[in-house]
Amino acid sequence: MDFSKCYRFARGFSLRRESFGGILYHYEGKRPDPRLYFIDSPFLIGLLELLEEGPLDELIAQVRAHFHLSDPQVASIREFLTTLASRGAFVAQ
Amino acid sequence: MLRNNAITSVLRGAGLSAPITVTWEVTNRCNLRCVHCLSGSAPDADTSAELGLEEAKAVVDQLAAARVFQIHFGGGEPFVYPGFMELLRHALARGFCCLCISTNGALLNERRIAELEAIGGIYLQISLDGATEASCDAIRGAGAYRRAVAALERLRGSSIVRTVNFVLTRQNAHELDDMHALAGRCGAILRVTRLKPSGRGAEMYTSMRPTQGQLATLHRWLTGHPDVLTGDTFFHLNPFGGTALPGFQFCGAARMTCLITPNGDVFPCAFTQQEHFLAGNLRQENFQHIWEHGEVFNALFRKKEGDACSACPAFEGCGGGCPAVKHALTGRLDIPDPDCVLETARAGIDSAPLCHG
Repeated sequence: MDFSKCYRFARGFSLRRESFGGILYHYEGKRPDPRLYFIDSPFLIGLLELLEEGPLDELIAQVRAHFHLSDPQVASIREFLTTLASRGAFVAQ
Repeated sequence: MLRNNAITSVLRGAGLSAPITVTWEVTNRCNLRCVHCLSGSAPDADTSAELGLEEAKAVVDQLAAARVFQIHFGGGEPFVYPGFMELLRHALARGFCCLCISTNGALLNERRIAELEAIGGIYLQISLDGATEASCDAIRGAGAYRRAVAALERLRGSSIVRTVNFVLTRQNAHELDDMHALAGRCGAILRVTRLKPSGRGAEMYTSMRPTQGQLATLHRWLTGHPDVLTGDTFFHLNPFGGTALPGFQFCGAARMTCLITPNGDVFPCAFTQQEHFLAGNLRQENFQHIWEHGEVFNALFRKKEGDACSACPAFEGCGGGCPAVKHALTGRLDIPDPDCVLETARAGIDSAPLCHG
């Protein structure tokens, strides 16, 4: 995944805030039951909501500064985004 | 990411800000009269109080505003609802990425399939309740099997995702392997669901309800066929042991899903369409308001406890079973599922006794 690029969600993905954080819904198109990601980290939800606002590296830097994230937390964000990308979640702008 | 037990805790409790999926029976009219129909639909159903197309579009707008992820259209037969294709287009334009349609397939001609393919994001559930013409038509009426299989044949070259929906009954339970093969030949995924005592299904339940032996076989069979979907309707069988069935292990009514009827009534699920489970009506109230404040939802369905089942060691696996089945058969919600594996084993009977009232 190229973190220097700007992305949007691919068709079939939809994000919604919830009291515990949020849900990322993924209708795969090949198998009818959707995949649901229950996300409880506010910084990850915040980042996904800002997805189209700029290159991922810049968004991660903003979120890191805002939430005072540690290196391991940033690493876990990058890992999660990479996993989502491998499942077709993002389209480069 | 939330861990599984935390997700379960959230969902068993107050639930979500909006459903994941809303089931919407757009009409009670149907070209078939299946003996077990959950909504009692028929060709001569009275449609005079049903939502008109413009009202239906406004409901779609409300569901989109609530950020519902998916609409599951059913009925009746949704394709007999006037303006149904326009309603689908409207929903896609409002941002829904997936629209599911439960259909008997009879009205899926090539032109309509092409239209659905062009709309995109459509997922079809085609009902077939037997692997042979004789077993299917005994439930769904003469000609139902041939029409459904013909629709599946016409869909063969299309990109539309489809399942074959199979309601397991005492009469067809032995056909699981044949149904699996039939769905595979048709390029569809098999989806097996539980018979519920609602609509005409209530009248037929005693004679069609699978035995505990059949349910035990089903449980083993499902664990060996992970490609088969169940709509999470068989979680009450997990106490049979072994690998838990995939999906959520509790009822999602009023927590992850709810039902809209043809006249705009909102209920916890398709199998609880009784006055005392009515949460509101969309002609009088906004969907979001009903979802958040519906007294029935909050008082009866959004409880973490499983009443009589809470202390049972199997509770985490079965969530106490299906409230709709409990209530339909006993008039109570605070008891184990009538098909509870442990209760029936304790009683040494093949099916728990049915006590109405």
